[in-house]
Amino acid sequence: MQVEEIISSGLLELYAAGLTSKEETAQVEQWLKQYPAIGIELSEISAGLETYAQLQAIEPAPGVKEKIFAAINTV
Amino acid sequence: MQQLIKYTEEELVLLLKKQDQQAFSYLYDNYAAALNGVIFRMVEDKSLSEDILQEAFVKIWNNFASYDTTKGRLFTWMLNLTKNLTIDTLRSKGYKKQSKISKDENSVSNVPDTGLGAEKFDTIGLRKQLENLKPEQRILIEMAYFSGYTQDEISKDTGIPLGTVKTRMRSAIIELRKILQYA
Repeated sequence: MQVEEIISSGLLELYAAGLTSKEETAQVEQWLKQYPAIGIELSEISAGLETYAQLQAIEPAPGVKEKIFAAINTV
Repeated sequence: MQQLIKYTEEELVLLLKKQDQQAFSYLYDNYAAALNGVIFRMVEDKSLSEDILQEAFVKIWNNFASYDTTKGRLFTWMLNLTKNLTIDTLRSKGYKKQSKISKDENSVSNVPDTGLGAEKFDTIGLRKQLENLKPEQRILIEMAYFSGYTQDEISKDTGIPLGTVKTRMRSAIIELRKILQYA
């Protein structure tokens, strides 16, 4: 498959949103190894979704961070 | 809290692979609210949402070695880990899987404004730009991103054929990318 075909397949968008099946995920990861351009494309797709998530952020209570640090420092 | 240090994603990943707690603190400050927003939309319960967030961050810390940069951005990895954890938690609590996403096209703007985004983005400007997204595109992004739905489930729930879900999802994300780029 050519890079342009891959980009227009829609699979990268689904992969970025965590919606691909096991087989599709394996396929995308194979392309990522094969073509650097696919990695760049994926990164741009993901950045858009990341901004979208940041816009809908909800600040957790202040104590949550302390609890996490207490947990990772307890062996 | 004022952030004095700013890391690039590469630096951050490198430090986290070395279990650097300062980098982890930075990671939390920059991503916890975004992940919490996603969890909250799936569970609709503030305290449960924060419990899952806490568990997710401990998992992110403990499993950081398994993050592979070639497979996608850091946030994508964290988001998938968090979503899976949320789905597992809901299942173990006997919740029936159902859409928590309002089909109301106005739902996006009803999300409480938390102020976090304000430091990093022109939040108001970007939110306005998002209004340019067609309602059906926005619903699809919401379902994909803020629910534990698979493509099949989105197709069943909306009555849109699977192939169409794929093509619409693609155009929705492309549109989103354009909007956020020029905002």
